[in-house]
Amino acid sequence: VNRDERRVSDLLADLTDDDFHLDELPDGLWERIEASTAGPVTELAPARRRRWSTPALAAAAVVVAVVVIAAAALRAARPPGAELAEARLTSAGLARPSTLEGEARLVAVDGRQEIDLDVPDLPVGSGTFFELWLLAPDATRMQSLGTTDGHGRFAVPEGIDPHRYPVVDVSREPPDGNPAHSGDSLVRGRLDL
Amino acid sequence: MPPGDPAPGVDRDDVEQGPAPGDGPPEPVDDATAAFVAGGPDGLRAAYDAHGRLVLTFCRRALGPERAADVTQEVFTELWRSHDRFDPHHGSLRGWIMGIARFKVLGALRHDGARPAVPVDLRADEGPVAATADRDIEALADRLTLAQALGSLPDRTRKAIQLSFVDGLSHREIADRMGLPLGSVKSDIRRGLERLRLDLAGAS
Repeated sequence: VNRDERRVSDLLADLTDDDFHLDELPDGLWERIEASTAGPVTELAPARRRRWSTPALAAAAVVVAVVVIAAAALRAARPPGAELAEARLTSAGLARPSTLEGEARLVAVDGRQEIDLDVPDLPVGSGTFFELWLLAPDATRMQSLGTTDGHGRFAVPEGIDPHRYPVVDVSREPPDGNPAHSGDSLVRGRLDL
Repeated sequence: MPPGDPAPGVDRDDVEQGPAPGDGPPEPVDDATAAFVAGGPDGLRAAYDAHGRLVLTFCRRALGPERAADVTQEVFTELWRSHDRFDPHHGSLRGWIMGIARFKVLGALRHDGARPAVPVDLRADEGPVAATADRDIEALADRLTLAQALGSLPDRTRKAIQLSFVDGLSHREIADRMGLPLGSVKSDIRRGLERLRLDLAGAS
């Protein structure tokens, strides 16, 4: 108790008038929080440990079920070799809102699948680089498709099923040798499989 | 002395007014905490309404006005995810949220420096600078948290604590000035400190 008392009393003595003044909340901030917590695809934090809340897990399960059912129906209807799906990429719901946007298409080439990426205006050349990812709907699993300047074709590795990894994500990565996702996503969107 | 008289050092009005600290929550949780514990979007909204301005102010003072809203959004998104880990018996909701806010702010500062968050032992070359910045951020979080915690204390308790810790009056002097029995002043201060400690506990 004495140590806590000392800590509190030291802090009390340090308080300034400024410390009692609180900023007003800006319009739209709650709506952004609501948007980032309502869906199953949410921003990745740098920390790898993660516990998902029950509502988020339930929502993710529903989305997975919908994706699986829709994918089965579309797979039956689509001719091979065609464009399989596309995704509009924006910063909506991400931690770093911006005007960046782009698109990604999933295409079949000679029996393999590729992502055709087009994200203009990535701030290239700022000491960081960009990396393209496919994420599971709940963002707990992910696959890197390689570094990018925002344009190009990227092979989807064998065994990576876009139906299970339907979310296209472009992250900014520090040159730190750490192969894991930085958590700093710039744009993201879900393939309409 | 009647049977069951309080132990030495414990004021009688503690016994009359409720359980001693340590027997569970020292008092019923506030509405925002109850709503958050109950879960769902309404609970998150209640936490935002109660503590959003504190988080935003901390982020603005630590990171600047441009990024304050973004990091505040991250804090409440993380709060939503961490719902199941929050236990009101171990600290206040305000302290819990500010613990998340410190983590996010320190992470944002690491990112600004174009360096990833790395274990402390790997950044020995920049340790002192980082440690100083971290301590400043911790102190800022503590002060803002404490200022708000003080504001939510009952008026009498807040006044007694300020007279004791800011103005340096003795308990007897406070009792005389406030026209209260000495025992009431002592228990007010002890109860108030316990509440302030709970607010800081989740943030340390």
